[in-house]
Amino acid sequence: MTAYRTRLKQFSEVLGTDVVDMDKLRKLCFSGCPCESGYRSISWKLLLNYLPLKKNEWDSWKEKQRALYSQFVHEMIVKPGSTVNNKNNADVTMEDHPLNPNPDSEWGAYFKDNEMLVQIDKDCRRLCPDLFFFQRPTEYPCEEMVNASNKVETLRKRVEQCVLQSETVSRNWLGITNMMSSRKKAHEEYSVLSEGEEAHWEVVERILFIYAKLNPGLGYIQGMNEILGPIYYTFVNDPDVDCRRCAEADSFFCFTNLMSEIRDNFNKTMDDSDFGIGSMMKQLMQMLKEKDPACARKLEEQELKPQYYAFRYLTLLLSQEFPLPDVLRIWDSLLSDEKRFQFLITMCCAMLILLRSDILKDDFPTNMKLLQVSHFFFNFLFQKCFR
Amino acid sequence: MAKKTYDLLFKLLLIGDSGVGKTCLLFRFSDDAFNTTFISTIGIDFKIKTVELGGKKIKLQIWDTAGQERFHTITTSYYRGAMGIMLVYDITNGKTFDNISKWLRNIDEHANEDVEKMILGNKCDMDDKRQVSKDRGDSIAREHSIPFLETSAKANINVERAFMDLAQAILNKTPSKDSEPRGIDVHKQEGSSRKCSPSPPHPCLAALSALAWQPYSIGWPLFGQLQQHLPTACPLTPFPWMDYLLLVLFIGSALAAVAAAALARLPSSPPPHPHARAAGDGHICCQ
Ligand SMILES: Nc1nc2c(ncn2[C@@H]2O[C@H](COP(=O)(O)OP(=O)(O)OP(=O)(O)O)[C@@H](O)[C@H]2O)c(=O)[nH]1
Ligand SMILES: [Mg+2]
Repeated sequence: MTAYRTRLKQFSEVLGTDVVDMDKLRKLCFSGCPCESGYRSISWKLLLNYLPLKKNEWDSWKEKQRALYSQFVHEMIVKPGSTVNNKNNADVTMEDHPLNPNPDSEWGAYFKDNEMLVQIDKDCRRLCPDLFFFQRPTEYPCEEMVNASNKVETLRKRVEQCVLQSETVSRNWLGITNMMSSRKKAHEEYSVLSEGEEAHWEVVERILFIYAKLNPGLGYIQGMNEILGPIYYTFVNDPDVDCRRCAEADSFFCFTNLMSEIRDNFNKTMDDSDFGIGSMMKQLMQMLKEKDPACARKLEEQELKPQYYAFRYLTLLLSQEFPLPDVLRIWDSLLSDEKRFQFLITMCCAMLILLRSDILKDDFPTNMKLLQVSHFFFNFLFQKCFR
Repeated sequence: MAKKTYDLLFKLLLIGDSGVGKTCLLFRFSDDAFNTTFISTIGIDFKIKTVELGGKKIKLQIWDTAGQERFHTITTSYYRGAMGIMLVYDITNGKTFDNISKWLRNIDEHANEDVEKMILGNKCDMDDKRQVSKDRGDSIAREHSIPFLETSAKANINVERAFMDLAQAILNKTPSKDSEPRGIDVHKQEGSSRKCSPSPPHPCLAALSALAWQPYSIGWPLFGQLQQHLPTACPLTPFPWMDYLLLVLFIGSALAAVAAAALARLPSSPPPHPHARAAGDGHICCQ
């Protein structure tokens, strides 16, 4: 216990100075951030270059960024949401209309966005399904959303609308009229929440939607939700009210910064370059070859390629391989790695070596399962280390 | 040495747009359960199920791929080894059906020519939300002479049948003589794993165990120092001479192969590989 207190004291010292010493902070975080007093949130914000090092600049900076985020929400969700509605009522002979084949057509963009939104929606609904957290209502819903007038098409309405639109088509094909029943159904899916509430996963959805809109070259790629999840979870569960209230905006910027470092992993055109996921997998296999040639040879012999398992480890920064509390602990170390993400590769290599005695004796399918079964992995490693 | 518990090994692949229910179908088949809370597949997943068909124990190795476009470069590399491909769309989503032809083209480009295919229209329990009529599914399947079924992972409709039909189609093409199975030669595969008999715990494991692992507290001495704890080399076998023996055997057989090829002066038709032959004969179109 005294060691733990010393630790807390060290954190309060490093974070208490006027200008944060990043080297010291990195060293401390590497062996784990306590969540007490919001040390983890603050540390991550610093490690992800969101907060400036000078402490007296924090408040004004945060204010500025949060205002910027509100603006994004307004411009990318609220405003288009209201114009679309106006358009619905407008005369179809207008210049731009839903069937406009022109790629620059606002409607074209709108439909494309909807496709992306439906995908984000699907993935966010099932974010960390073993944890109830993301299904719970947030303490601080976005005012502009829950108080939005009927005229504004919020993301929630937009997803519902997409489902309905597709059903109108189905009615034409089959001659079945079922629009009323489905509207009720779509509504029921949110029914656990009362009026004016938003679930945490909806907040995550909004952040991802805005990110994807701001990064049209990349858009939304599955797995991004799993990168955002741990950040958002940490900020929402902070003891500090200010941190909790602005978790959405802060997570957005931290996520954006983190993505700027790992976006190549999500970009399929980078797969074979020196920066994409392909090269990371190569580095991992290279390291394994050096550290444990027999294990590497065995995997090669069985043609158990890193794409089968390490692709996910590396792309998602291990967030799918361990239960969330462990992911947070692992990320303390990953984020304090100065040569991000060299440590990630080392860690993955260590995971393989820990499993070596099984890898060496088992056949391909057994090994495949061993390396793929997420979540059980951790307990398994845990037992191994203490045996 | 593990006892052989099956006669044939078939490799199957599940493809289709994201969200059509590939993972759910596979879970229904392998664990006979339905779970609405699967996270989207990133990259590729893998399941095994052993079934009995025509008096044979068949081990199905089923690969479940991610549907989103981004993962295609990663997933198309599995097409080559697949003997059966399950192409899934969602009957409540017209777009996933429209993409069927795109997936078929993918198969043509990347899979073996004689791969068995099957089209599944999933989520047929949601008839009230249907967008793709059964006739449309039927006709595209007929057009390409591919078997077709409507399934539901949720209501457990036709799932078992779909996988069994596909396995049966592959089995039908397999020569009946036991000595020439079309599936991966089980004996050969297990033979190769014999080299690595149970090994003593690796020294680096001991090194890691020495470090206390305390994920929830703050003192988690990390893999950071791992590199120092790792030995630089680990021999393949307990004794160096065995390594040499393996090496000599390997080089010997390689030399023999080269010599044989040279003697035959590149014969016009090299002796067919068992797989290759099975692939060539009896191309059965199952309808
Ligand atoms: N009603 C119904 N829903 C289903 C059925 N099969 C799957 N679903 C739902 O469809 C959603 C997607 O299912 P998955 O199996 O994860 O989809 P997938 O094809 O594996 O998607 P990716 O991994 O992203 O490529 C889940 O929310 C399931 O609950 C079905 O037979 N009936
Ligand atoms: Mg899946």
